[in-house]
Amino acid sequence: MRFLAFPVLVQTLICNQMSLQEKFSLSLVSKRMKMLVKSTYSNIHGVTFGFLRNKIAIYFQDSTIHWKRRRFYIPRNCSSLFYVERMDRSIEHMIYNHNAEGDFSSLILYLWNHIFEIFSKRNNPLKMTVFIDKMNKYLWMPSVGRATFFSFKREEIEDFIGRHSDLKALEIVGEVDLPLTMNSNVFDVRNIRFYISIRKFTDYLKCFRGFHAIFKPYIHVDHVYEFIDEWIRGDYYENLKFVVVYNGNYGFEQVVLDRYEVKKVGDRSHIPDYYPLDDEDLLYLTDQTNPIPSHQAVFIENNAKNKVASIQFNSRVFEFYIWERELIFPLRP
Amino acid sequence: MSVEPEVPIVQVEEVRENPVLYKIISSDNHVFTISEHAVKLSKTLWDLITNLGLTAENALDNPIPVENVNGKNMETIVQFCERHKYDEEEPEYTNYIREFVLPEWDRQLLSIDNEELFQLILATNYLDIQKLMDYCCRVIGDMAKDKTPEELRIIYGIPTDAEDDALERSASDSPGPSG
Repeated sequence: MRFLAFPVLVQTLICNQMSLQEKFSLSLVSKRMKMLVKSTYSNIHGVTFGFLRNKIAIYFQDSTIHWKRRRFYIPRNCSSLFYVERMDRSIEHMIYNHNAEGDFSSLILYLWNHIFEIFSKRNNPLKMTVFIDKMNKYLWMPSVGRATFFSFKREEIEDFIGRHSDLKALEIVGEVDLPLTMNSNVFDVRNIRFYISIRKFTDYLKCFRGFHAIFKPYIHVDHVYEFIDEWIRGDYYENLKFVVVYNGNYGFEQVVLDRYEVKKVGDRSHIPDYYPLDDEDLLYLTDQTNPIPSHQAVFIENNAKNKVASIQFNSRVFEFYIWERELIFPLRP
Repeated sequence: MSVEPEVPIVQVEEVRENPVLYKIISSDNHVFTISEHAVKLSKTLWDLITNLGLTAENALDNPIPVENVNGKNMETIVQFCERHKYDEEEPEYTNYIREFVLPEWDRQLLSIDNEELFQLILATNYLDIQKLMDYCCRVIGDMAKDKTPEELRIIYGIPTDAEDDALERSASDSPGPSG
């Protein structure tokens, strides 16, 4: 088959008929093929490299919920790339052998750079996430946007953040072994998503100098009251914009609002229908880039009367977004 | 057309109304008739018919010459268009998850050698038949299934980076029109 003898449009159409795995294989054939494949991708929002005990797993995030079902992986101490897909049936096969080029580490770095180049658009670099099982299994990568850790030592996470100055999001699953101090660089990351069970989420939030925070899995409603009272008093950093907490045990009920004076908004036409979060923040916070609607929210005001917060919740999720007062309640001319 | 088709000739199930037929002449002077619904699948042919002002009354008296498509490819194309002329429009599919399976009839129609498929795609591209193009591209895309980059290089005849660089160097070293 004389593939390159086809008009470029036809080459592109052929590419569009290929699955992710086939297209990715094609991109590894030559630089020319890499550029062709690059021109046909538009729906990959982010890529996750999982540094696991026995392998490195690579996930491509698209706008569907199925992205976790397909992954590439490289077994440790191996220099071959495999693909596995679990939908209706299991598919698993080797697609690339890097033996001639170098070892395991050089293959990971090669694939990282290759993927970054394929999926980055002009002015919109690919969002790269690392998922770290054990710190000694991690290979230092450039341009990490989000990192997920499992029950790590504080010093390890702080060292990681120090070496990844462009980190935009941090996810910690399980409590950090030592209390985080006020001046820890963990609290300087723009987006955090913490899974906590011992300490209150407000203990973390009071130190947080970033913008957006999500706390899971089961946050007690009393801690939410505490948070709202403290925000009204002005106990949190100015940067704080968006706080989301989950409660799977008891659920949030309407009484959450009974304690507060809700400000009435007559005309809502000037209020955005969605929280003003950009695509990058949305991807790191929610794994998707779909905007989060805010139109059910009610508003409360802080004591300084310079900010208002919108509160919106269902039985499972509580959302708290902080706005400049004038945006919601414009001054009359 | 004297060439025997490799797949059964499509039998048009029914004449839903008095069909308007058009005549097409291939580059090697084979003549084909095609119904109005079928010819509409080719944007190029339908634009031509519209621009020439062909009607039910004068269509058969005015055969349309298509100089870029030979009889063998035209036969496949006419069969395909007659087969799919009443298909409903398919929803758009993403390029990430495959959402259609090539029907068996079409897979059989397109079970031809690589060079023939290559020529058929060029003809399909010229005649602008979206559905046939999608199906042909799927057949070529399927060749990549479970293949390594090295295997793909052979299947698709793709040069290595070194070969591409050498070709580029020789092109830039060659004398220009004035040299």
